[in-house]
Amino acid sequence: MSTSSSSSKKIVLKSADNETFEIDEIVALESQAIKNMIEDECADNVIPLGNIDSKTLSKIIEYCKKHAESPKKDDNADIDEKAVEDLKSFDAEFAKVDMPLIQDILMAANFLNIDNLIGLMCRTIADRIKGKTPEEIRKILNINKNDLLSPEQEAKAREENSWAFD
Amino acid sequence: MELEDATDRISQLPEFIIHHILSYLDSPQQLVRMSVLSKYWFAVSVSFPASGFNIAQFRDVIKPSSTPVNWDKHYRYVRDCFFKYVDDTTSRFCHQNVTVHTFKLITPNQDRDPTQVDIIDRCLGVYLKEGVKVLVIKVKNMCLECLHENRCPESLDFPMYRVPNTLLSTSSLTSLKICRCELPSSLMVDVVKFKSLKMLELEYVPLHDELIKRLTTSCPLLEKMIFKYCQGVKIFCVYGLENLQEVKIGFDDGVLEVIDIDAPNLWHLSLVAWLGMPSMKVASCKKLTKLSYFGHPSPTKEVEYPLNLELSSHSVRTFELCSDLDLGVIDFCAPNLLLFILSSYCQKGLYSMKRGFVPSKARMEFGGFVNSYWFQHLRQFLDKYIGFKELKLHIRAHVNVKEVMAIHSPPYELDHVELYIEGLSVYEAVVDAVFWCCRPLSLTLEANFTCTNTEEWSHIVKFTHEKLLLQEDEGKTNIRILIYTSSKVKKHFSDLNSFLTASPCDLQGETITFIKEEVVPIKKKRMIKQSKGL
Repeated sequence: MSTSSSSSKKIVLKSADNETFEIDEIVALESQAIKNMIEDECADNVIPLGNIDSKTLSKIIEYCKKHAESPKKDDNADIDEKAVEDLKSFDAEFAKVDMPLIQDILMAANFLNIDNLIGLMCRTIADRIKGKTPEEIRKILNINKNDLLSPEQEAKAREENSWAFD
Repeated sequence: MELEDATDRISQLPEFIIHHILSYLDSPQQLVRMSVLSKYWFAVSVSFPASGFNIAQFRDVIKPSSTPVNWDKHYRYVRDCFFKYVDDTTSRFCHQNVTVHTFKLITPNQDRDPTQVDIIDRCLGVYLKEGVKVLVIKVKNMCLECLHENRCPESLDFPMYRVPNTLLSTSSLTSLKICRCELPSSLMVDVVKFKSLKMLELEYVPLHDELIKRLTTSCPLLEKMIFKYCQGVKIFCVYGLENLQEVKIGFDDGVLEVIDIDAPNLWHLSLVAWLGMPSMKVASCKKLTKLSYFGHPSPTKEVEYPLNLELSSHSVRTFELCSDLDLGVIDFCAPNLLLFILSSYCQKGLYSMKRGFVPSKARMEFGGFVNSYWFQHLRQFLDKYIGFKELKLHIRAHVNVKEVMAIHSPPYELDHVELYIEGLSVYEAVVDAVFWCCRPLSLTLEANFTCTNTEEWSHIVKFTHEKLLLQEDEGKTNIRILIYTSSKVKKHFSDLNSFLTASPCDLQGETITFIKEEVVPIKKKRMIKQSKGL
């Protein structure tokens, strides 16, 4: 929120492609990993994130901002339903990105330890896989053909549970 | 199919994240498909502990292979697939510690096949180790003809599956639901470690008095207890459960005689007893505010015992009773009662109760069929329980007003009456009968007559208006009219004339309310205003 941002403490994140992002500390705290760094006082002014590119990082910051602004469930048992609905529709919109970016976000969210975001990305991937055949899923997940099971292995696995492939 | 050489980043993620993704897939078919994607997914699927097994997920997915379909053969195949899948999955984990939060097993009856019983036993053995919090074990009585649940007597012949004794040492459980199984054989002798259990639900589980005692004394933290379609209990006795808040008891064998509960924080007790009528000892439950009683007399069984529903509680605020019991035999001492809802079983569905609504004044609601005798009993009933201020009737009626007039008591004074009458033809008779029994300050009529045209509608309004006026001294009462339209707009009319002269489209509404008010001379009105100002 703009009113409080001027006075609150700032954290600077630096992406793999050397772009810097200045964000409020409260937003950064959505990441358990950054929170630990700050608490252990091993965070300098600039936190380098060597394995996250700027495109992914700006998406993640967008997510953290929104979630930091929203009232937390455990703070207050009867937070208004509108806020919950609002956050839900934000999440739904947020997840409408292509699979490579989802995978990048998931990797980064895992690195930064942002539980909610990991959950959201996992659910998004599951939703896209649901009801698809193995061939379709391989394409969706970009599975490398060198990683496939040997034809004999695959035939055996399919044979054992043939009911699941009709 | 050609696969592009783009990077597959997912396989660089830790296993727990992949398990997270798999947990959202939640279907054995999908999990099996995931396992053949690649070497990586094969390994990771194999190490994924399922959160349950459900025969319905197999029944719905596996399609018959041949036409014409040999259904018997097909459904045996479906069951075989199910048991094989459970067996394979369980075997992978039998030497590991599996930690799942929730485990649901929904299995068909084992068809007297000992190997299938073994599979289920082993499966529970693996999953019921330390850690599982929510557990559902449900045996579906499935018809071999269609694999859908049924209650045909033949299938009930199967010996019931008995849950293994390992259940009793699963101390991590917070929620346990068992359906159509027998409880572990050593329940009465072994140490039971349900130290965290908050929710216990048993359905179609054979019980006896001692089992209930044993179970409840073994679960000190229990908050909610549900028994559905259970049998074998004569005295349902629960003592000393500090946290117990809700109890639902449904026994269908007519054996239950006494319900004796002493739980300081119990607020809702619900009882389903279509046969027999157990007596309720709940007076020591100081926080019991809601009581629900469904049943009796059974529509099919001959009544052999004296019919009397007795209840005594100073805390009960809401009492819902779904029964064909005659109003005359209901006897309760509940001085703080605010809402009494009675609906007849035969007309069930006619009247649905508003959940969680507690009025500020004592209110009685009734839904069902009524006749002249019912009105006589109503009049006596209103006298018995001093204090009802509001009455709502949602009725189908067959009334002879002359018979209602056999009542000699004066109309019972009420603040408000709400009427919903099915069928326009009985409308006048019902209004007459209602006003013979009670004299309300206001009356709301739900305009549910689909056939109503403007002429009929204004006739009903005029008729009701006239009858209301007849109850009062001439010239001293005016009746205001309030209409709620279907779009929830309120319209006020100061008297009948202003209502009748309004445009016809203004007259149609969802409810119409008549409010009696004293006709105050203008001079007096001014004085009242002044005194209020002071």
